[in-house]
Amino acid sequence: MRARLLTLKKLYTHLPWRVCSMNKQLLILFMITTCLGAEFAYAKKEAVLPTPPSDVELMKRAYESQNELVFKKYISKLLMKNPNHFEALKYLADYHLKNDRLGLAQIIFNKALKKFPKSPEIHNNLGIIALKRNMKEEAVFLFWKTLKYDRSHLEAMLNLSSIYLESYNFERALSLLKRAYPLLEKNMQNKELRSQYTKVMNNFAVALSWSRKSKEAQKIYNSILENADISVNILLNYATLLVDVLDNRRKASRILEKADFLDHSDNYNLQIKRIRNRITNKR
Amino acid sequence: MLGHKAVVRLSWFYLLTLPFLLLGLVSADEAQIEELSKEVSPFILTRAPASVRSRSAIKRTRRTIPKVRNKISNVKKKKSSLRYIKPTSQAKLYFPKGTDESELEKATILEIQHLYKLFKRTGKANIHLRLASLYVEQGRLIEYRLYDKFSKEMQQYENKKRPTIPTMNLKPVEEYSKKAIRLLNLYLKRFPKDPRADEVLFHLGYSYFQINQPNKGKAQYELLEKRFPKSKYLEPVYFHLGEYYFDRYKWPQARSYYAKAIRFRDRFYSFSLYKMAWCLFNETRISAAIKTLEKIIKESRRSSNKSINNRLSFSKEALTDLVNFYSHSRLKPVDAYSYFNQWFPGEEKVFSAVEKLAFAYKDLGNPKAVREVFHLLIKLSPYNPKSYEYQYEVVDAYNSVSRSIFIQELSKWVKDYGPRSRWASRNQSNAKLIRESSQKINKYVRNYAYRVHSSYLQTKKVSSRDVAYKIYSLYLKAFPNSKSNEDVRFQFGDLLFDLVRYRASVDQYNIVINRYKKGKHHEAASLNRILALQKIIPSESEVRKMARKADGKSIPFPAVVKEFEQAVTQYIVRYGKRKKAFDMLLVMANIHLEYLHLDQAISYWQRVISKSPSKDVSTITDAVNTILDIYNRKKDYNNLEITARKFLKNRKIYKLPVAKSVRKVLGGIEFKKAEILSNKGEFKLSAELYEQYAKSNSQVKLSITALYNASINYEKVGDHIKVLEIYQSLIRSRGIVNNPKIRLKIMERLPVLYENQGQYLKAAYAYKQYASVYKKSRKTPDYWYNAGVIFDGMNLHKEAVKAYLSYYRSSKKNAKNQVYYLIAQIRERQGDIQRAIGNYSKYLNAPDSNQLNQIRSAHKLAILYKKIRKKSQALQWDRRTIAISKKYKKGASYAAKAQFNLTYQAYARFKSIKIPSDTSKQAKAVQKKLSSLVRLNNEVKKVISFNHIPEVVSSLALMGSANKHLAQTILAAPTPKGLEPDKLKKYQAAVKQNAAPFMKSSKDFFKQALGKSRESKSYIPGLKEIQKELNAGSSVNFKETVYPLALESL
Repeated sequence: MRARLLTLKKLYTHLPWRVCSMNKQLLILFMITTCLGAEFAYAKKEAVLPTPPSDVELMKRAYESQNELVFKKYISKLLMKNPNHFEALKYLADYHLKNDRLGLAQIIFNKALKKFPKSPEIHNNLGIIALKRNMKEEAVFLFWKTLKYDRSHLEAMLNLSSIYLESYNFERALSLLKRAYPLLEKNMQNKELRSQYTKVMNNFAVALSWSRKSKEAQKIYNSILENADISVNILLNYATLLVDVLDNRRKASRILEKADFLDHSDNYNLQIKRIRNRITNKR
Repeated sequence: MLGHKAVVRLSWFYLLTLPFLLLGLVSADEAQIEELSKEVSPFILTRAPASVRSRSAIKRTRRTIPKVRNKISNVKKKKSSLRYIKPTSQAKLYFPKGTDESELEKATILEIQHLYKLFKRTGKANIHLRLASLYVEQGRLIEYRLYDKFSKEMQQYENKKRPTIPTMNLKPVEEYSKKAIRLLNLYLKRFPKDPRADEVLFHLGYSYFQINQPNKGKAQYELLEKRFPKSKYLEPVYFHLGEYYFDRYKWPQARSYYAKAIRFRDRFYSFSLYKMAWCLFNETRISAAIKTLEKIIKESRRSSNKSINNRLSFSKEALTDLVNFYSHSRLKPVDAYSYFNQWFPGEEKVFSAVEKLAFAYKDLGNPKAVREVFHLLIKLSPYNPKSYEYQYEVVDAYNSVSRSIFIQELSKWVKDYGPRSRWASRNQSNAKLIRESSQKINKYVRNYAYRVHSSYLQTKKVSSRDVAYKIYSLYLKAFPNSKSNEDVRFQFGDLLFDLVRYRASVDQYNIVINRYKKGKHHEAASLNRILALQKIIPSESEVRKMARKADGKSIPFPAVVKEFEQAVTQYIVRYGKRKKAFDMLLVMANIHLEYLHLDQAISYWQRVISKSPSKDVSTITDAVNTILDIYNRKKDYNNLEITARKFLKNRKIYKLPVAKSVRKVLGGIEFKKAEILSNKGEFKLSAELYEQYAKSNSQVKLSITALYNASINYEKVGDHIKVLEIYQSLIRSRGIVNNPKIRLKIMERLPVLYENQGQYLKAAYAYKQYASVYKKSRKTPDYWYNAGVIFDGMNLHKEAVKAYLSYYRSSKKNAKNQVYYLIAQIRERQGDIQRAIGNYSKYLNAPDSNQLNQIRSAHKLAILYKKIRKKSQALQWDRRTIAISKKYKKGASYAAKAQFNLTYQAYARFKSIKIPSDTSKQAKAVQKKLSSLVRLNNEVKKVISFNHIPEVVSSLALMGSANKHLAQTILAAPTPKGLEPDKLKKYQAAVKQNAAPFMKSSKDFFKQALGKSRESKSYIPGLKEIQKELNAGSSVNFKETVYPLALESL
């Protein structure tokens, strides 16, 4: 088509217009315009055509939809094309990690790490493996390494903050959570993060609480109660804050009622009872 | 008359036997030549290889020498033999020239009839006797007539004008003789005393001879001699008796009767002399015989002697026989001319006599005399037209006597009487003579050459060969442009071939081919020229040397090879349908191949295929294989493919076994193409082609290799999917068993591929499979190890342990001891503490270079022993951990932990010291506790010395706890009994005062620990206690639930 068009253009420029009759001139112009129109239509049609999804995308879709067979097929395909395919290795390791094949996941991550030594994702995931093996010291080291390569790596920050908080290093936990909070708000589209949101916010509130920033902690709890699904533990934490620090017994009682309503199991019953005792004692 | 009969009988004998003899000779010649041709060895070329492709495919044609007649037909033989010089016919004596015999016979018959009537009527004695004598006469006349007739018929037979041999019926003669005998006997009875009885006896004797009763005849003659000693009939009687003995070879008796007859000096004088000369001659009294003949000649010259009838003069016969007798005598041949000069009148007759003598010598087989006499004649008349024949006779005389003289004379003949000789120029006017002489020489020399050549072929005598060569050369020099040259040159070419003078041979053949394009030898000459050229073209080994120097480039044909090719081409063009032409195609094909003219070689081989008969399987197979091989050598795979496909369509080929190999080659072409593409770096195309080949040739062994090569190329372009597919199909295929190398490579590569693809479980099993199949491979330990690591990662602990142990068994390195560490980890994860402890212990007892793992193992053992509450062993391993760490100056964190564990034991001991209620003992107990605290402090210092923050923090916290515990212990100590309230207050105040510094230092330690924890980002497990301690009493009570997070990032 293009070739034809070029010849027509040449024809147009080199035509002895003066010699041609009017009818002929009109005919040539008509031909040129029709060809240009066709060309334009062709180009438009080309642009409209949807691009097929790449193998990586298909692999990710299969992973998300937990279609194991398809996922493995695309992983193999991608790795056969490139044995060091970053995405493929990452997803494969994660797949094994999720299936509790920590050793294999570690092997794959280490393999990927050889090719991508500054990958924050790999370090974070290796940190998780260490965490799962209860090697918290190593996990902390790996999470910090993640943050070294990506200062704003949200998962690493949150993972690290949770470890610190568990070990009562709430100052470090709070600083990390403060950094993570705005990012968390931005990354709410992340499904996993969304599912962990309340836990993170709870940890944030606990860290604030332990850092004697009770008001800020209260705000966080309130926001959790407004926006997300509530777990009994969070309600109990909030009640504790209200009773022990803020001395808001009424609200605490309401929260406890809510908690008691949500879960009536023995595990929580005892805790609810203890907090209620503290309320009555204070009265 | 008797002599005449003998001559007749002799000539009959010769007439009857000669044709058969001649026939026998001719057939013998033919048989010989046939035999010769059979014996001619086939020309097997020395450089011929065994196969059909050899240059020796061309065989030389059978050589046939032209048939040689024993006698040259146009040479008129002189009637010089004995049988021709026998005494003259007796009949002629009785019936001289001019006599009309038939008229005489008629007259005699009339007279007989007339007399018979008279005799019957009268019976008179005269009439009786006359009638008897007329019967005798009539018999003689009839005999003459019959003989005359017989002679003419015989002449006709000799001249081949009559088909059958004539016979002579003498019955009419016998009838007359018998009648005469009857009448004569009757006469003797009637007239016993008749004076004419001698005549009666003479006729009677004669008639008996006529009816072939010679003894009766002889008896009558003897009776006549006895009864009538003076009878006038005695002279003929003696002569007849002489003849009687002459015919019976009784020379002396015959001579005595001839001598008696001579005495009469009458009618039979000369004849008797002549016959007596013959008797003497036969008695080998040659000089006497010559003298007798000389006497006859002398007598004849005496004209005065009138008593001798001129009619019966034997001077002519005597002169003729003189030459004959001379030849038998001891007289010198050279003197013949002067001798004959005495007897023969005129030079011409003398010359003629000498000539006859020469022939007589020839008949006698005296070549020396022949040579001398003929040379004498030539000397006498060098330019005589007959001279060339004289020289011929000399040559002929030496034909089978002395070869050297023969050749000498032959050369002389050719030179002196050839078409370019002086003799020929002198006799130029006689064109016929020149033509005839030239033809004669030509024919003779040629025939002789053939004969010698033939003899050489039969006997393989070198002398014959050399003579033949000389004669051919002589001939061709004298007759370079003769019509019969084709034959001679062809034969000469053959001879030269045998003389290993191939170039000269080729030259002769060239003349035959170029000059006689429609000649009978054209084909054979064409063929033989090729054979001769084949002998002088460079040998195969020479060409091979040249080819080696040419380094694979084509070698131009030398001039002689070009000539050879031209000769072959000419032959094929003209005699393309001959089998030899096919053989030549083979030879040319091979030569082109040797000279690396590959294109030409291909075209020749293709012609070989098209021309070869379908049954010639070996040739077709050779040709097909060679053509394909050439294309392969040229790496012209396109044409190789095209040609191979054509072959498979060819009716001659597709049914042959070679078609199978062609199909293989066809497959191989794809293989080769793929190989070339691979070498060019077009791996994908190459891989596809290999795969295609393998699919279409799945039964072929090479298909496995092709598939493997395809996998290699696919791997090069990164198409690992294909690689894996191919590997899997190869591993499953049956043929892989026959390709152990490929199997090894695939099994070696397959687990790596699986691993690269992320199919770890398959990879692990593939590693395991390889390692278990190839137990002695260098890679086996590594593969066992890899399998173990993957199984371990997949939580397949049993398999992992097995693989690790296999690795341990197969590896010879010290690092193999690492498996104990790995197995210990697996056991630990499994919760099998005992086995874990066992493996960690084994690891530590075995040599290994990984020092950190050793420290870790010791630390792990301490932990595990602690778990199973074997505190002493746990502490022991803590101490060992510290020791190993110090030894390797590594693993400070583990050493710090171990040291902390030891410190904690000190703390536990410190805590265990209790203050008794007995006040007197309290001070001692406190003192003991204080000293324990000091020791604890020292232990803490050790922990701090490792500078591992978590342990430092924990140690400081431990010190805080210890101080707090001491303060609390002091405060909680029982007060002494019986104290007054004031004293009690003072006492309590003093106790508080004592406890206060410990409490303070406790807080300080905790604050120190907290401060230290802030220095590090590390995970500090002891911080919880510190925070609780420091925040005690505040609103923060750490009762909230913290969610542990493990957020993966993707």
